[in-house]
Amino acid sequence: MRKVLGLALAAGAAFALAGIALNRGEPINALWILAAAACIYTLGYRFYAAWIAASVLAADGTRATPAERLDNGRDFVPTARWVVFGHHFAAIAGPGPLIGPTLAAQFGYLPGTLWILIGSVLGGCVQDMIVLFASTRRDGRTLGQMARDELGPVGGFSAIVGTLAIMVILIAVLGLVVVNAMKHSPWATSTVFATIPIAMLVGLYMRSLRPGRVAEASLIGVSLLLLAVVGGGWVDHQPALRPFFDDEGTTLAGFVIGYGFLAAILPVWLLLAPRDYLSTFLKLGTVVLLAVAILVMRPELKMPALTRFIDGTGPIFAGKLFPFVFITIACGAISGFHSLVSSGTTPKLIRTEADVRLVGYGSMLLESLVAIMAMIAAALLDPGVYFAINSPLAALGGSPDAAVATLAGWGFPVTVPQMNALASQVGEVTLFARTGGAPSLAVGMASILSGVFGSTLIAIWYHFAIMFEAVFILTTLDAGTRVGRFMLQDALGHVWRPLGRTSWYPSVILSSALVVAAWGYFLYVGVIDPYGGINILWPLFGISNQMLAGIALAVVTAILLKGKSARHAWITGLPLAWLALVTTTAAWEKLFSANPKIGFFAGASDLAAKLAAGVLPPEKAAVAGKLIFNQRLDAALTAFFLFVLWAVIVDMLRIAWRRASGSPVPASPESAYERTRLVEGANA
Amino acid sequence: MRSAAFRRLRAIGTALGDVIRGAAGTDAYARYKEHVLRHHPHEPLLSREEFFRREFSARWEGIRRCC
Repeated sequence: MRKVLGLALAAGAAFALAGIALNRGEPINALWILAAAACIYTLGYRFYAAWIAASVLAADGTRATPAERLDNGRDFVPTARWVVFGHHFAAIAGPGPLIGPTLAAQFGYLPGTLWILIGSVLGGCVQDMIVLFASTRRDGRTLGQMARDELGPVGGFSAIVGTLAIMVILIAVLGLVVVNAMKHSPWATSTVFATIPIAMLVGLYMRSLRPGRVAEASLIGVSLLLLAVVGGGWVDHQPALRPFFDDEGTTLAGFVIGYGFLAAILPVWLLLAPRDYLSTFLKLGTVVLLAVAILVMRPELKMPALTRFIDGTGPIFAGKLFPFVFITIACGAISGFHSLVSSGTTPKLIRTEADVRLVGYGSMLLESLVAIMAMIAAALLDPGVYFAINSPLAALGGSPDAAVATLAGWGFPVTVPQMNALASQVGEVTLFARTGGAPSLAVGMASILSGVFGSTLIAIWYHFAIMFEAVFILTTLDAGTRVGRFMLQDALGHVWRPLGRTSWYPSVILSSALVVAAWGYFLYVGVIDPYGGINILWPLFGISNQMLAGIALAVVTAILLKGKSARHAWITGLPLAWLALVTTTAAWEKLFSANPKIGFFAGASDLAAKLAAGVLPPEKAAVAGKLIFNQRLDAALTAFFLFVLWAVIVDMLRIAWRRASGSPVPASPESAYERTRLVEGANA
Repeated sequence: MRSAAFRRLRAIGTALGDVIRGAAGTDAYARYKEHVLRHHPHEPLLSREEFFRREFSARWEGIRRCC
């Protein structure tokens, strides 16, 4: 029976992919992609994941999990499987899988789609599941602790420093996405600003008015958010109010930085917690809405399967298909950040080891599906429109007229009146060079949703999509700044003990300010960069995220090597090898490519030479010094990421070598077997 | 046949409800209450309001949100 199902699914996936491949030159319907995804996900879950859980991990339903043994009703709680699934999915799914595929669509829809499908089934889902399993067997230890236990101090230190670095880059790039979406858009800006008092209102409601009524408060909050979207449109038409929200990028960056600082020092219940609830409800609602809308509308993809930019000359970001598509799409295919959630919080809720496959592998499959939907939303736009929105003007010739001429020369015809009509339809002044992926995704989502629910509302849908992404992003920004603050306080506590106290206000303010200053710097430089900053920061984020995935995979590979299933260590070893190859190649190119658009050093030297020769226009010359310094700093960071990744891999290989040559290896500190007392099926 | 299909639908509905509760964390108090009743039946049980005030911020101490 299972074999029949497997064969049918394989045939289905092959048929759908063949449909995509053979129809080259004709528009492809998005349904083919969804069909291929559904078949591949089911194959991966029913066969590969089941085999790993049963044969490699030997997940044992009779073994008591830490949630049961250490049950304290707070963080350790044995929890029903679908509740843990929901918790885990909400924690791993952020704005990343929406942005990466949107940017990677510059290569055409096919490379990104294949990488999302294959990368998740063989890489990302496997990483998430095995890290979750390993942490569940070790009383919910974090990735950093497991790295120290399994590999040694080098691995442990690398995991912690790597986490802090990735957090800074992540927040900076997400902040940049929000700023670019709000720049000179009173509607978007006023709506996004309104989300802050709404979150506080919800916080006060939950705290004082009706304590603990979370669902009730969240529903009120979501209704207010929808009202804010409509209200933003009203503000946009008020000549007296409009100028307040019509801001430069640098002003908005200042607001985002100030907001991040306040969110990190204010009590959790006032801002962070209510925003988190609102964002979760919006996330679930929008994912379902989008999936239903794609199924109903069945849009045709207008983007070609492959574009000319696989040769590395793309306007959105420079660099060839290999390795840059694998760096641009991290979340949705494989995301190292997930290993931090899979160790630490989620394993303390796992009721039985039998649930690890659903929670670890299954949640990541759903995130992969979100990435596929983002790819569809990008690929259904006219390619000319897609490139006009996502490319910085500097990369297309400097002005809208030059941009459409450049795009026409590339075979992606679009006109200025067409872009202006689209902009006024969605209620924006312009859609040219709205880099960062959010506006383009919003246009795509708006066209899907308005295609199903009526086109009169397209401006509302567009700003709903912007609000949705902003709420998502600001939640990550809040939570990330706070986590960074805790990690920094933990580290500073070793220098001077009082600094480590998380409730001592001077230390709270100092460490929050340091974390905010770190990401605020990268955000600011991204905003003043005439190329939009995304082309520099997003690859840096991709490299750091894949580096973290490399660390996580190295840790679990070492665990597999030490256990009974050493001969199966390839299931994490091969994804690790692929990531090491991709990340190293990408980092190498970012460091040493002679092309100033790709290499950081080349970019800095090129700018320095132009500055010295006096050929830069005055507004560029004014910021050139900062940009040159930033490119060199980015190079140093890239080199650091590469070094950390290889330090951990070498540490893992050392374990592998010792194991192969029969030398003793550090023991893998699994907690001892204890039989579960939970009755099968109860509480489920 | 019909009742089997109905049971299946109901199971799917329950699972969806669970996913939403887990994602949003709206079940924190219910979980705490169940824990106290099962493991510490003689200890005082915090009211929903008290639990919310005391335990709320702990939810945001670790890495709870991703990229």
